Amino acid sequence: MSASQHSQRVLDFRIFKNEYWCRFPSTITKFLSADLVFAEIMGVIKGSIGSGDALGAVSLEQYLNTSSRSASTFTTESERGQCYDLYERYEKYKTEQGDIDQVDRVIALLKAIKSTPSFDDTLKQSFHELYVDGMFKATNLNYSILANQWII
Amino acid sequence: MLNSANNNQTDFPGNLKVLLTRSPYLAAKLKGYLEALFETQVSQGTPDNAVWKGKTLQAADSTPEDTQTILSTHGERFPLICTVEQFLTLLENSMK
Repeated sequence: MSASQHSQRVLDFRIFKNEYWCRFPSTITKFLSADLVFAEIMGVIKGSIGSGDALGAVSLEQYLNTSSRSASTFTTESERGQCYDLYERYEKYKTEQGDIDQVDRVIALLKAIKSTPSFDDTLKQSFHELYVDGMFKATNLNYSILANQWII
Repeated sequence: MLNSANNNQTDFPGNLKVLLTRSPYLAAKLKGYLEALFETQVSQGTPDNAVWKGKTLQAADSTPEDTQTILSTHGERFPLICTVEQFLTLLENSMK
């Protein structure tokens, strides 16, 4: 499908596995699991707190230097290099298709909050208490968008 | 639980309490239970009835609609129970 046919589609793992994975080089994908790669892209390369500060993905160098405690799925330089390669291909195809993912949504919101004081004020004044179920499962960027507004 | 940095409930009308969950099933269940509790409180005319007076619950079978914004959820909807996905949609709509 062209970008004009389904612009701004929010992709999830199902779309990633069924539409994106097959486009990646089999020389890489045959050694990796689609679900683990997707989780790594969303949770570490794009969604880690390091990227949250700069509101962008970590660089290859930053990713390679990430501690195994923070990113325990892929720990060798070879695996991480392959995963980052897939991340770059993923971003390229995602842009071509006009798709976005959940992390893109969160980053866009964080940027809007930071650049629009009136919106920031509205959020601060609107919500009195926020209860979050399963906070430990949220990516750091998801947590940032919440904590940014409601830090005690 | 996170508290707003601005904890004065009288400064802004309809300060909203929000419960976020990743599970649409849990969100629907909680809304149903809360609606039952709300109806019980109002019907019994308890001393704390004033707390519930004028408040309406978010419909048990509805979640923040695709067009809902922060301002449209204020005051009349108490509390807001939704998934993280729906909350992001709420914030995005509020940006427009």
